[in-house]
Amino acid sequence: MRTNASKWLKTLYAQRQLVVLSLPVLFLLVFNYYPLWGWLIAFQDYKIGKNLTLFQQKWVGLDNFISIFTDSRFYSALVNTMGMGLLKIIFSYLFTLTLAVLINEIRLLRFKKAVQTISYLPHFVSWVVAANLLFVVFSPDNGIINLILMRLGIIDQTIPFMGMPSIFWLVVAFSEVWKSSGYGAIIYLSAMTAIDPVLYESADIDGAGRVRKIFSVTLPSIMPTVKILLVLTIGRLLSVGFEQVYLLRTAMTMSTGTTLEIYIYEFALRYAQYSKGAALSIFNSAISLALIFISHMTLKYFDQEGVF
Amino acid sequence: MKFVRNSKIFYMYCLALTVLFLVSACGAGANGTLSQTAGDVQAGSNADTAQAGGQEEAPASFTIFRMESSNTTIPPEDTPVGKKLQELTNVNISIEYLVGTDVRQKASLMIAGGDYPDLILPADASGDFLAAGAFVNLSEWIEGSENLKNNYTDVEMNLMKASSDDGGIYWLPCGGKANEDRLYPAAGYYLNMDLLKENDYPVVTSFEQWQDLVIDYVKKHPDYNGQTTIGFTLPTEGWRASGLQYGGSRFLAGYPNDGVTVVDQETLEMKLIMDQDFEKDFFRMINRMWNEGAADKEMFMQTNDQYNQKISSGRVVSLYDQRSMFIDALNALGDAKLYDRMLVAWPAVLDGVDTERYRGPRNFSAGSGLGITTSCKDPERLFEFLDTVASEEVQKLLYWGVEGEDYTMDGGKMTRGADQWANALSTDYKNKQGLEKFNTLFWFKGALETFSTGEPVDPTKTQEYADLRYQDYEKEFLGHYNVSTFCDLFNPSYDAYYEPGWAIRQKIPTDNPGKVAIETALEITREWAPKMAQGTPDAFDGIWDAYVAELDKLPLGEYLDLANKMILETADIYKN
Repeated sequence: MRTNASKWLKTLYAQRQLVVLSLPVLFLLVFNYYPLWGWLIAFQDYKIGKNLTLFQQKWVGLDNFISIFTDSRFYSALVNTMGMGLLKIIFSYLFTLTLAVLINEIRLLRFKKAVQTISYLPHFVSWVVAANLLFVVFSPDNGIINLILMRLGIIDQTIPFMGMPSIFWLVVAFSEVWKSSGYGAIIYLSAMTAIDPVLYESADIDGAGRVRKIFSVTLPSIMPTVKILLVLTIGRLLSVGFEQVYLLRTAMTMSTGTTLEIYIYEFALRYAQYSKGAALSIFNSAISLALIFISHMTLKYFDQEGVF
Repeated sequence: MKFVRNSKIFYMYCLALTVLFLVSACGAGANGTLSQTAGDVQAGSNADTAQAGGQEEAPASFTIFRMESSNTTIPPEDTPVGKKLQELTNVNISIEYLVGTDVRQKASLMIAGGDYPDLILPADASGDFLAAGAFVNLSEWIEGSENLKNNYTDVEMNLMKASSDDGGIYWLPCGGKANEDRLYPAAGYYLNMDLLKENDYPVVTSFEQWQDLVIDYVKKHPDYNGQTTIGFTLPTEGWRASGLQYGGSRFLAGYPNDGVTVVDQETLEMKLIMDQDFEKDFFRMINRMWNEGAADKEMFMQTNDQYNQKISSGRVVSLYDQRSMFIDALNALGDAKLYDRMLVAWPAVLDGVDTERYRGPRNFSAGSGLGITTSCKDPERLFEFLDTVASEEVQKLLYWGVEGEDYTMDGGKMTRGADQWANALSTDYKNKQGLEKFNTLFWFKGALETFSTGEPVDPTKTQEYADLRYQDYEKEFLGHYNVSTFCDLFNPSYDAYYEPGWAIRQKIPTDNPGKVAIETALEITREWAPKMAQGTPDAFDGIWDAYVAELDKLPLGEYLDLANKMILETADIYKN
């Protein structure tokens, strides 16, 4: 017995690095997989607070899923989420990459630092503050943007930018760009510092100008980073940021501003329909998983063909 | 060598942490209630010592949660009145308030957590807590109580029993004792004093007339103080949208406040407001205001703070709301001496409506109240505390303040000197002193009742108070109408003969399918309101029809059937 125990301890010690490495996995299991038990309530008529255990609740099969999939509000929420998600990905990629490249091209170090600081500052502002700021700036009632446009004679009536259902997806996408592109650019900038200067030198010798170098050296070199980030972002297409949309949404923009997350929140927390909330979460996870696989496989396919 | 030793310690440390994580995660899952508030533990241990100690009872501690946001940063329990209360009852209380305004969300989270404070004032969520089994049945204790037993009439007691399925009493109704406003009506269609003065102080009773006055005034005065005049605005943020969704229209058709429904005053038949014709007239008014340029362009995207800010700036000419909801803005107007911008409520009704019931019945509502939770370690002691609070001595403290400071006893009668009245009118002083901070929490005496010593319970319901409270400009204004209070512009309150619809709504748990349909309908109304407001007058009918078609998809009848049955039950209690 004693020898067994000491042998076990010895092995444990010998593989101590592996033991430490398993910590994150444990963390993942405890906090991300253990709660999956809760998915069971999606198939129940779950009542809280009655001191019933999970297995004493009433089982209802797929009723919750059926009632969700027959609700027209669910489909409009789904469309809104997809729309906002896509716009967000497209614009934040475009702007973040452009910003990173432009910052990279700045030669004056002091100016570069200043631009970088200013552009990533909004990232540290909470959405509560940021949303209120947007409402004040874009207000049709003495908001500065409307005042400027009015004085310049561009418009003759104030425009309620934050209250137009037709542009609400864009408002969400661009407020995200404003808030996060500076911070996102840091990752690309660090990828750019890792580019071998030899490549630029040889491009110089070949007579490439600055623009040529951006497209032929800088961008191709950071493509692996871009692709990895893209796969990860597409997986989160359906989570478009609860607090942002919730705070920017008003009575005016409810039709285009209700996302799946808000829909879940209203069902689960406000109307105490926890089972439906769980069913929606399962749906959400399934879609996300599918999206990750699709984007991953697409990228892999193109990679082998050597498109990039 | 040193490095190796350190790294070993590091690995061991990480391992220990992991084990800790696992144990705590599983532990919480199994028991659900690992964490307890300090108050609970203290209360429990104190109760044990109390039994042994006899006379020298150690003070117990209880936690209270109040589903209302606090309007002061001074904890009421730390004020002189609060200290005196704790001294008289030998109980320490600590009150927690709702942060923000979302009662439903907070209630759901509390119930999901299952760990409650000792005492909850649940506001609109009483039905949820009851359905979750969070409250202790108080019936037997009330029978054996000293003060609380005599505090309710037979009708009131029966209404309290009728608020649960099993006939038990699970909460002591608070804010539900028969009451009426004596100085300012609770709700109405407001107009500012400048407009009324310009029009030679008209008596406003017609909805048309009210709209015309506003539109004319805005045309004549497009600006105020360098900013555009806001002819009409409404609060539309989250729960504050109720005036827009259903609150504003019911009075137009002569109904009293019955929540999302109207109750026929003869047959007690219940109808949902959101698809009624008078609701259409209400939205047509907003549409008209919008197209005439009188409506607030930011109306449907403003927060409650922005709404109040606009009122305080004096730009707002008219609105519909409940006075208590924007009282801070009115006070700000008063502080800035912008008296001509002060808003006065009017009982506007549609053509053909004979009787308005803005001030409604003096009703007793058992829909919500103080409930002792199952998490409370010593519910009997807590109930004893509540019983003591219901005594006249303590109720006088809560309503009147500390004797000698806030009032003086003169020949056995309660009186207030000029200083004391000035204090009693100052919000600042009331916050510091704790005056009137508890009477709406432990609301056991109705404001309209009298104590056994003959004095009125609430000194602010007397004419003496009205004379003191009204400022000169208000008295002058009232002089133009030959009335003595703003309430006199309205029909008087009357005795209730059924429990109000809003109390019924409180009692139905949120996850009831009918109630979910109602909540969904409210969201739909909030979504469609801007569309109805912003359409051209010609398009209005079409938008309304589309909106009603959207509502018709919901199973709203289920709620109406249930609520109507409950109303009829309470009407029977009143009859017998």
